[in-house]
Formats: sequence, structure tokens, C-alpha cells
Amino acid sequence: MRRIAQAVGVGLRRSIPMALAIAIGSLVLVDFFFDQPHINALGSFFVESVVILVAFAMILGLLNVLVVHFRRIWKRDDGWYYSIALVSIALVVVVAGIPGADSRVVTWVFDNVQFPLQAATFSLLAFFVATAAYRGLRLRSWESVAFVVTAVVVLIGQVPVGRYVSELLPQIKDWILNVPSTAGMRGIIIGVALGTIATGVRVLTGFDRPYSGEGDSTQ
Amino acid sequence: MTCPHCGAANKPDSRFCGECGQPLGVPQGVTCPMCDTPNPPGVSVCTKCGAQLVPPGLSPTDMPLEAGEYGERAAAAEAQPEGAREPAGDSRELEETEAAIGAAEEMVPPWLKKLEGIPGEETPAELEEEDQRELSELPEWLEVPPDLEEMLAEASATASEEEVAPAEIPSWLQALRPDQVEGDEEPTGAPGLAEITGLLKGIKGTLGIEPVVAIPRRAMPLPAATPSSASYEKAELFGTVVREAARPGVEVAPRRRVETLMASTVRWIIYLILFAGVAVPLLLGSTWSEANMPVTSATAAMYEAIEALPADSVVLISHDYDPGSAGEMVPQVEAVLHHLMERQARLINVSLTPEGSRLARQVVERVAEEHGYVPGEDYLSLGYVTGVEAAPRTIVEELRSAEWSGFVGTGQDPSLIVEFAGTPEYLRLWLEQVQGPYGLPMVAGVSATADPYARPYYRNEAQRQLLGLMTGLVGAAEYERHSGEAGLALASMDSQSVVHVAMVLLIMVGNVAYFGGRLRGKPS
Repeated sequence: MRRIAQAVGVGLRRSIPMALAIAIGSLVLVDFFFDQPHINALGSFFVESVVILVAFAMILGLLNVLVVHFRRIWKRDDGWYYSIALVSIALVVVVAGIPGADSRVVTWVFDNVQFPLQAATFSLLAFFVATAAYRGLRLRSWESVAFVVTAVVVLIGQVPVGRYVSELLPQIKDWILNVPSTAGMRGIIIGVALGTIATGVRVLTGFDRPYSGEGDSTQ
Repeated sequence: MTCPHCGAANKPDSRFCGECGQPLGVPQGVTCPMCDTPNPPGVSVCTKCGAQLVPPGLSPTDMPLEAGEYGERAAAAEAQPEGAREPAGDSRELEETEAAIGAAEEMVPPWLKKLEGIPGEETPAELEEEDQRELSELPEWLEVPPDLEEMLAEASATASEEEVAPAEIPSWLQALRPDQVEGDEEPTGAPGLAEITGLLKGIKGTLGIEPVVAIPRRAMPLPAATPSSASYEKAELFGTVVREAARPGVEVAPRRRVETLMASTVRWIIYLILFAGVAVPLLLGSTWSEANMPVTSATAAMYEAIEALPADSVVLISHDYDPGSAGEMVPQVEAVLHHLMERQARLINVSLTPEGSRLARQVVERVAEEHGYVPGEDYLSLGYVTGVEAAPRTIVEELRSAEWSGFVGTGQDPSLIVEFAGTPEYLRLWLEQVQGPYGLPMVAGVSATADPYARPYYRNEAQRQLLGLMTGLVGAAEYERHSGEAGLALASMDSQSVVHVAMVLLIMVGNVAYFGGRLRGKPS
């Protein structure tokens, strides 16, 4: 009897989320293809619910980060003092942001900490790219010749000075961007779209259950 | 020979019973009295449990009999009691039985016979007398009443007459009861096999006695090695290298230091060239690009899409970038906002990234102030919207609702969606969730890294998914040039031109150095 109850419990635990996912997913899919007021209203309701769920997920994510770093501080793990900085700044921003996202403290932290750090990190990329171009773009084979010539044409054709090197240079640059580059990217996009369709079908038919917390496919 | 286990007759020299498979002869050597393990003759300690096999003071050489003799006599002793159970009457059989018993008594080892003389244990008769003496000395309250047996019989009769109802076991206790496997009527006891000999006979789950703590593993023989000639040559080479005397490293160390210094110097020269390429044109205030900036068709198409908007059109702008890409995205936003406000469009600003919301607010408020736009009437800043894939559709659905009829119009959609995407993922969200299903006109300004992903949508002339496309800081400069309003992007173009040329020169110098090194025979 107890085994039967356990089996029923396990079955329900798997089948109820699966049934919900299939039902709601199918409804939103139908809503995408058909213009029927009731289905549209239901589809919109479920899509709007996602916004609320994601907001709560962010709160859970914040709590998880705080718990993980509190634990590191408590156990004196490696680099625990960095965790102190993270926890203290997170708490300051959260508390200061309660009145609103435009509060003075939050704005100050964004303008004087987050923005300069992120911008400086991205700016360093230019120096690394230049060094890598000097050391790496070598004419070792015919493929590398094609690669280097394309890079040089796009680099020069992209800026106004390219016109003074040759009137053809900007046109060749446009052709490279519009024809070979776009063709390759189209192939990638179509492949991704087919993969997305396959994944959607697997989720809608219950073969994949990413919501069950079992890792991935249970097949 | 008769099997002592099943009674089956076997050949005299059989070692095992042909019927039941049990060993027929008594095992050679001494059987341990504690664990019944047969031990080889001559040992004084049981090989399994470590028990003493002979009493202290006796040596193993005092063992009673030779092993073979012991076995034969024991077999005879085992056989004779079988015959003794036969009906009496045959005097010959009786004599044989007595002879067998005598033989069995002879089997008693000499060390045990020595113990017979040691006082310590009383005979049963003496014990009985002692018990009687003790009983007579018991106090009155401890004496067993004479009618005890009658009382016990009466109590047992009463108990059997009454039907004892099973106790009500609560459900939570029922749940704790171990599962009963159907068909398994064996009582669940301690796990493991039951002890078959010794003091713990019949008890399950006991720990085995292991006198040997650890038995060293026997070394595994190595497989026969059949080295190939190539391996043999390598081994020879390795041996030669190992035997070779160490070379002095005096020459190598300074050379490495020089190479490291050279590499570091080259790196710093490249950094300085880049820094100078950016800083010098900005410091000199060069405006050469303002007059020479070409405009691509994609940027011009974006400009035309905004230029075609009637006055008072509602435009939805999504700022999906972060400080990392703000250097090229903010000039784009600024150029487009100027144009939209000149066209007197009403703007709704949203963001799918928290950083984009803050960055957009700074730019929008500054440009709106220049154009005299009033917040809440001419433009709105809705801030960060969560939901990732769900967010774009939710925004558009909300704008169709009655709450937004005052700003957008009842059931109306925005006239244009302007997406500023630092990464291609956000552009994909708007294209898939809004532009495709709702068919709304859309233009995009993207970072240079996102351009290859966005271009197929702009080049899709059948669907017209993107009416215009602006790429990176160059796209912003083209837009400023096309609209005739020079701004931050055009002012940066001279620096960008110099840096691009410097990059090309660095690639050339690197290749010259590479081929020069190859000509000198240096490795790449």
C-alpha cells in the first residue's frame, strides 16, 4: 500500500508539471497562430505571468548569492574577504534602492562604480585585439591570406579614410558584409531556428522536462 | 564407510559422501573448540579465531594421535553408535558396541586425561546435595508456595479462554513498520548469514573473527614486453640524453631575458600607438571626417524610416545595452533621439537590461531638455522590464490596453519600434516576439559585434523585418552626417580612422617580421 502511494506520488510529481507545461505551451503556441479573442487573452495572461515569475526568480537569485557568500565568510573559505565586499555592497544597494531605482545612493554607485568598471574592462579589449592582430594575423597559409586580406579591407573600408585609399574599398567592404557574411550568418540562424523548433516539440511532447529539476532529458 | 550426515554407504577410501556431498573422514589435525575450524596438526593456535588449541603448559607435540589413526578411529566411533541403536538382543552387537565405546574413550587425548585429576568441578550428585542444603536455608518469603502449579495452570486456562483483541496501532506507527514482501515468510532478522558453529551458532549479522589483519598482495607478474624497434630507439635516445652531461645555461638565460624584454617593449609600443591614435585627433579637435564621412544604404534607410513618421507618432524605443557597449550605443541613441524629437514624435522608452535603463535615462533627459520635451506628456521612461522573452510582447500588449489609450490611442500600436541592442540576443527577442507576430515596423541600432547577426534581417527584402540598420560608432557617425547634425560620433571618427590604419600597419609589420624571421631560419 505504501509502495503504491509512493509510486502515485512520484507519478504525480512528474506528470502534473508535465501536463501544465504541455497545456500552457500548446495554448501559447495556438495563440501565436490564431487570432481568436479568448485564446489571445489567455495567451497574454500566461505571457504576462512570466514577467512576474522572472521578477521573483531574481529575488531568489539574490538570496542565493547572499547565502553562498555568507557561508564563505562563515567558513573562512579562500577569498572570503571578497565575499564581505560583495555582501556589503549588495545590501547597501538593496536597502538604498527600496525607495526607488533612482535614489541618490543607487545612482551614485552606478555612475561611479559600475559604469566606469564595465566600460574600462571593455575598453581594454582594444589593446588586446591590437596586440593579437600584430602577433596572430600571419600569412601562414592560403586560408590565412584570405582571412587577413578580408580583415584589412573591412578595417580600412569601414572608416572615412578608406575612400582615399581606393573608391572601391568601401564597396568591397559592403559586399563582404552583405553577401558572404550574411549568407554564413543566415545558415547559422536557420540552424538555430530548426534546433529551437525541435526543442520546442520535445518540451511540448514531454520528452524534455527542463522544469522538473532532473537535469535534462529524462529519456 | 557410512556417511555420518545422511547414513549412506560409501566406499572405504571415499573422502566425500556420494549422496550428500559432506566430507566423510574427520578432518586431519585439531578442530578448534571455539569455531570448529579444522587446523593442521602441530599448531597451537587456531588459524581462524586465534583460540588456544592446547592448554598452557602442553606443547603441540603432545597431540593425541597421528592424523590418520585419529581419522580411522573416529570413523569407527561414528559408525558404531548407529549399530548400537539397532534392537537389542544380539549379544555380539552389544559386545561390539562396548568395544567401540572403549575405543572412543581411548581417543581422549593425553592432555585431557591429565586434566581429569585436577579438582575443580563437582559431580552431579554433589551438586544435588548442595542444592538441597541451600533450599532448606531459604527464608520463608522466598519459599515456593505449594499450590504454585495449580495457580499457574488456572492462570493459563483463563488466558486461553479470553480472546485477546489486537491492539489498535496508529497509522503513523503502521507507516514505520518494515515492508512485508509477498511470499517471503522468513522472519527478517539481522542481515547476513547465520553462524553455523561455535558459541554464536544460529546468530545472524555477527562480525567474522579475522586473526590475519592484512594479507599482502602477491606481486602481479608483468606482461611479457615486446618493444618495437621504434620504442627501442626512443629508449636508447632517452638513455643517451639522460647520461649526457648537463650543459651550462649561461648563454641561454640572458637571451631569454632579452626576448622577454623585446616582447614587452613591442607590446607597450602597440599600446602607445593606440593611445596616441585615439587621443591626438581628439585633443587637436580634428574635424576631417565630418566632410568626408560616407553614408551606407542601411543607415540611410534607418534615417528615411524615421523621417517618414508623421508628427505625433508614438515610437517605442528599447535600450538594451550596458556600460561595456555604451561607447558606441549612446552616440547612436543621441543621434536618433534628436531626429525623433525634431519629427515631434512621442517617445516611450523601455529597457530589457537594468543598466540600459539608467544609461537611457541620462541621454533621454538631456536631449529632451534641449528640445523642450516634457516628461509624462511628450515622452515616458518606463525603465527596466523583467521577463526576458516575455517582456517585449508584454510591453506591446500593455500598450494596446485601455490604460494607455491617452498616450498611444485606443487599441493602437506604436508607429515604429527602435531597438538599440548591444548584443544580438535582445534584437532577436524583439524580432521574434513582436516584429514577427504583430508585424510592427522596426529599425535597429546595434553594436559592431552584433552587426553580422542583424544584417540578414535587414537584407530580408521580402519580409522587411528591419527597415533600417545602424552599426556601431561608424553607424552613428553616418547618421549624424546624413541628418546634418554633427555630434559625438562624428567627432570620434578621426580617432577611429587613425586607429584602424594603425591596426593595418601593425598587421603588416607583424608579417614582415614573421617572413624576415623565416628567411633567417628562425622558428615561427
